Amino acid sequence: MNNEKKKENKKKFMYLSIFLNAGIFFIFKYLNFFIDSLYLVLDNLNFSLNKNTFNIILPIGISFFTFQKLSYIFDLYNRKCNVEKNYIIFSSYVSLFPQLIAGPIVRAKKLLPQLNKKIKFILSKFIDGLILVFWGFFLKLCLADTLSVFVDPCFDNTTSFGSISLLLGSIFFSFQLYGDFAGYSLIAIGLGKMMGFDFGINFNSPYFADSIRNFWQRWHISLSTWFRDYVYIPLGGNRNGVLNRYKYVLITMSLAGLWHGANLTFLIWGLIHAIMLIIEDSFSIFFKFKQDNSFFKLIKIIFVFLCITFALIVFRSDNLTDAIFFINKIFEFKNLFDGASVHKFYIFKGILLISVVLFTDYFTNKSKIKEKFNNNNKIRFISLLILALTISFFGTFDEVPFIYFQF
Amino acid sequence: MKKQHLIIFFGFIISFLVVDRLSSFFLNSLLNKSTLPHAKLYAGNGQTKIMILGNSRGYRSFDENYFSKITKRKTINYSLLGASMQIHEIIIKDYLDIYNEYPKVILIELSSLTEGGNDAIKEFRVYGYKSKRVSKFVKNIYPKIYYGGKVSNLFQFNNSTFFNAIQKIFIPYEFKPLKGVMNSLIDINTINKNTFNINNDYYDENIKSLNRIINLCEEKNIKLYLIIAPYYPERLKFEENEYNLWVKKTNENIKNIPIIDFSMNIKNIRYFHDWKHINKDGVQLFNKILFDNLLYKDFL
Repeated sequence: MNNEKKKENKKKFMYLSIFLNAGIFFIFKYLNFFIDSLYLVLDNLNFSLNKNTFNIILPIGISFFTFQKLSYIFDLYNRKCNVEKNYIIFSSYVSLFPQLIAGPIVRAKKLLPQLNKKIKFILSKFIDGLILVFWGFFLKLCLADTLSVFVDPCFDNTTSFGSISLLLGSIFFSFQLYGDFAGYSLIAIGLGKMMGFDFGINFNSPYFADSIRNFWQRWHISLSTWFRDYVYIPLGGNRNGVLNRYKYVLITMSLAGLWHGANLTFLIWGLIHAIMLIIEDSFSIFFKFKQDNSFFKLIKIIFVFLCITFALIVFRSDNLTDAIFFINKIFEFKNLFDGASVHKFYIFKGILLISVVLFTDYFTNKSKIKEKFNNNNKIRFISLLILALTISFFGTFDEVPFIYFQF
Repeated sequence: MKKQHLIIFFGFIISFLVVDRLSSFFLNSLLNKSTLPHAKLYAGNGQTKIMILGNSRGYRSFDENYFSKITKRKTINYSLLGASMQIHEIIIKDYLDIYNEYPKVILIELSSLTEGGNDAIKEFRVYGYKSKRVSKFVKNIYPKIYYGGKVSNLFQFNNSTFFNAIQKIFIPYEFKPLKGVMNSLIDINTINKNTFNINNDYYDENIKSLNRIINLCEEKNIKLYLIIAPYYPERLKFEENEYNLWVKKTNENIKNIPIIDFSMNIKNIRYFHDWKHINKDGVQLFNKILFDNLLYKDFL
């Protein structure tokens, strides 16, 4: 009886903590969005009201540190970690500076024990971290910021571009987002490693995914596993039949979309992914066809990449009208290369850098090469040197902020 | 810190500096092989009798081959996209330092007094390796970029000018006029009347530069032509007052040298790529007008 009561109280405290954290998160991030949406609905129903929204300044990294705290609450409730009574350590867990602003979201069960240990300087770990930091800077300064020179005008001034130019712009955006976010994650993970922490990985060659499901196992891993463990599985996961499973996928992916920001475009982006996951699951028999055929696998990888790119057009556009206009212009097949010639240097540089990143992503996944790299200090030293020189030679230093800082 | 850590740290810094300097030296020597006009200028192969300077309008409006054919004198167009008059001054002074024989004629397209900005020097900084003036200008305008280039010399080669110069080793440089005709519909909403802004330091600095160029040309006995290339008149009329003020103030501020104004000389839209730039047909027509009416008699 006593145990039952304890369990009950524990549950109440968990709900209260979730309510407080999610409530603050909601007010800062979504209140104005919901007020706007409400006014829109009322306006459509011919109720004209004076529009009032709040002037709210969004705290930096709120999405990330709220999810860190929620992760602590869930892990504590599920007895996956112990209560952290030291306030300094708990604060460090929530706001550890390398990953404070844009992740990765590190689970309490993973990070709290590390914060409680005495940190030791280990040279090899420090160099490992440094390599990740340099690779992160390469992805951000060389890849993402170079691509943004062509991507930004494509999305800001769509009318001036032809179909092929816009298709290229959308493909570039997929890589820009990858370079930007994976770059930041790697810098954070690398800095953590240099200080003796292990945050895990956040991206694992996502554009080599051969299915949408596989993509989510490789892209923003800390967020996708968070939603899987704390939303999808508690909702019911794979347990209650196919239709319910699809319902949970729709809910989870919609929330994942909205996590990125209070905009209909993010919600639609999440829903597109949910629909793609559902279709893929329904046709899984076909997708399993000829698994070992490498040509077929390549086709699947390209197809999945194009689906992701298509969804990202919605993600990048300011609103749905712009997104539809952008997609329509691609399929118009008119004035094919308009707007591209002015940017030909950045297009050439972008394609070169994308090739380098894909090549590196492909080979770092080969275990033999990985092993050789990790065990040979000379190779690691030379890699560091090459990365530093490459950043200096290829980097775009226009101080473009990280895209994920806005989340 | 252990001794081993210090060795690795300093080893990395030294290796970085050595490889960086060696690579830069190699890239700089590659630059000497380029057929790009500015690369040739700084490599010592850019001697010319007629020198053309300007921003994109200067670059797109004058066909150096036509000039050479008519005058039978070597002509090189040293215009640079987005360049200011201050950058023209650097190019002229560097030229005079490098070559013993001065050009007979310098022709400057004047819109670089107000248009563009000093941004072009970011792309031009690759020549900072060879020109102290370029280097100093970068230091004054973009100190971060300047010191970045000091830490890593390779950074100085991180711009489109360098990659363009490399391409021009394999594909010889040639004048390429713009193709296509401008859209006849002028969107009045996009006109911000900022093209001929004379109330800023940028214009004042450029006027000072122009006056120094005039003095230099007088001193070295070089004939200087100040030209305004055609604008599409239908569009120019929206900024007519600003344009007239700009010409008036420029005339007042420069020493005894006339401005030759072709701004309204071409009226048909088919000669324009956009309202500021003439296209291939426009270049042919404009260059003919230039020589037929003004320059041919007394050009050299």
